[in-house]
Amino acid sequence: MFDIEKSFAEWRTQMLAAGIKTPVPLVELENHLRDDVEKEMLSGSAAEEAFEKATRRIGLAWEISNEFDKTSKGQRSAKFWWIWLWIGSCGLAVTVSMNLVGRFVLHRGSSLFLSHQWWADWFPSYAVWISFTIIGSVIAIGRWRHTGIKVNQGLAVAAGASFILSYLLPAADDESGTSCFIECWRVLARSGRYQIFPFGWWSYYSGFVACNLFFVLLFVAILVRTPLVRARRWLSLALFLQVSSWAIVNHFSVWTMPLGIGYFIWLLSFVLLFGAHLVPDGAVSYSNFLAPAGNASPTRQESRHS
Amino acid sequence: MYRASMIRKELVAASAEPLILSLLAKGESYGYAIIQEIKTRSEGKLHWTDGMLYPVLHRLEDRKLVKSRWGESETGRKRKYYSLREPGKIAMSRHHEEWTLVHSVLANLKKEQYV
Repeated sequence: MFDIEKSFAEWRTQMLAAGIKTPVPLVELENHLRDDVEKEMLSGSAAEEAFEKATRRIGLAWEISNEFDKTSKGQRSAKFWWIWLWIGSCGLAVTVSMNLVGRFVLHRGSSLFLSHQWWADWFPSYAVWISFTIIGSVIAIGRWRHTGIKVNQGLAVAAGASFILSYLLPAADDESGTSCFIECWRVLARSGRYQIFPFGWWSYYSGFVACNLFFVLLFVAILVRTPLVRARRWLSLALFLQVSSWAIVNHFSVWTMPLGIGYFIWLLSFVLLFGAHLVPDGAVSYSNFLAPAGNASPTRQESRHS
Repeated sequence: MYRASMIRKELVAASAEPLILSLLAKGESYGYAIIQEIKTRSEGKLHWTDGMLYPVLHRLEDRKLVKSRWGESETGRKRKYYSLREPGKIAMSRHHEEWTLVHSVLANLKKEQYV
């Protein structure tokens, strides 16, 4: 005689063997199955037939398990890249701290940003950790499906982080990025010694103030997905060109000053911002979410019962 | 969930998320009820393998588009109820816009064929 509870127990064992976790989602699936069996029996089917139909409808254990695995694999992958990003950030923080201690506490010549010895002693470490951090931040944030954050938003976040960091580091002539920004504001306001600044130079240095302000606007624009994509793209390119021009102007000008790491990180933030506006704003993607499942399940299911 | 007899599997797969979100926009529901509602509304033409609904619901939950709570059925069994979150409503309206656009383009093209 058919024992429905025994059949439920066997079905549960199959599900557990396939890797379906308990209590969630196994309880959910089992209660679904029980609801379906009850409905089938109410419509006149015998218990055995009702159970057979309901188990057929709910699908094969391995198929369901595979679908759940896709979610957990995605989570594991995202976690891996977050750990990667964390390691990169820590490495970069330690390098910057040691470099600053070397420069301002121990007064080591090799710790002077961009000096000849600095390139040999410090640059490899910066290059490794900055690369680590950028790769980690772009991929980790891009893959973080829980928030629905896209690659362009990941780039924008990396740009924002670089932008903030650049304010804390020496940017030009051992002045921090913040000092340089304040200096540019003075130029814009024509305060103090800048009262007699020629118009050409006034507009050029004021342009850096505009760059910083537009950076914030374009950063927000990426996160809230505003329209005017093409305009944003061109504007971010213009900002990048203005910021990068400083390296050239400084190199050829009569009052050349040593550029600090802060300037290059500031420049990097504009590269990333331009990249963020260059990447198409992927709205909701079906393919990421559903297509693999769509390909996986039907064939075996149908072939089993055909 | 994606076994389609009348409607092709790709379309069934692509429509799963907007359909689930739209159903949940009417109020909280649970897996079995969602499946039944889809069957009724599509007059049986949209076939889902029931068990495949749950990974999709869990992914929607992971993406913070829906939230869930455990409750009890009339028979006293534990039942997980899903409801829409605010980002889920935004995602749903985006789906509606996209599907309406596809529909209107198709409808216009069809109309032009008979002019």
